[in-house]
Amino acid sequence: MLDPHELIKVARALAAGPSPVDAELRRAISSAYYALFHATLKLATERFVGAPHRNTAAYALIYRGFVHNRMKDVCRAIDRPILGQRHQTLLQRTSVSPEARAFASAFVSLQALRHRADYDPQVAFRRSDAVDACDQAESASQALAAIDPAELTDILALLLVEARV
Amino acid sequence: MADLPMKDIRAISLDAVRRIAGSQAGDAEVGIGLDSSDEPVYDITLQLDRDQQSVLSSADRIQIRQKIRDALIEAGDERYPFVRFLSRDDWDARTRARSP
Repeated sequence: MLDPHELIKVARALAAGPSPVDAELRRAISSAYYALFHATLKLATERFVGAPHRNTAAYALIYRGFVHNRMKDVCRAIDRPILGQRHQTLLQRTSVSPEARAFASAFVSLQALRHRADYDPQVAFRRSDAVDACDQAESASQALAAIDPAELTDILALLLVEARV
Repeated sequence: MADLPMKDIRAISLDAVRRIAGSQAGDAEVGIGLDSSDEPVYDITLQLDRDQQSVLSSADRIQIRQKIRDALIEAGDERYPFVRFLSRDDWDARTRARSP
């Protein structure tokens, strides 16, 4: 079973060497993003299908139904003090909690950083970039777990489903 | 949607980092980049006196990112800010690497 905590451990280990090479820093950043990505998918799938059903088709289908770009768009839309009209309607609230914002903000930043780490040969990463990515992934995972259950369910559903308004 | 002048974004960024990091905050640099969907975003690099972990907690860094985002939204600029923190040593190394 994919374990987000293991991914973070791997990311920190890659960044922790005496003088990590570029490839280690890039893999650390990518792993930090995937730790948060899988922590989110795991939480959502356990909520919508249930942890005891981990070996069912429904669990695998919901888990694999999350799309990076859609998650980024939703996180970007909720990372603001007052939601836009569309997201006020979708989420039936005018703003999200500080915990939800902290998660959303880190998700958007980490995904962009991961994209650069995996595809942009011109960026010279520093150890601080990799450590920041690990810190962000851990803080965001904690923030995600601290969101009020009703709000969390709404946000996880929106991350998964393309809603029509 | 307004795209603010770079000097205004730099001022917003400096204000945000100075509020949290105080005198440990140094310079700021702003550029335009693309996100994973090729949408234009602001690439903001903030200089700190020492390495980020010894100056700012993870929560501080989130707060700075959100302050910048909020100030941009308030000014009518919806471009997303991506914020990177560099110690003075890393900042100087980057500057040297850019020199011809």
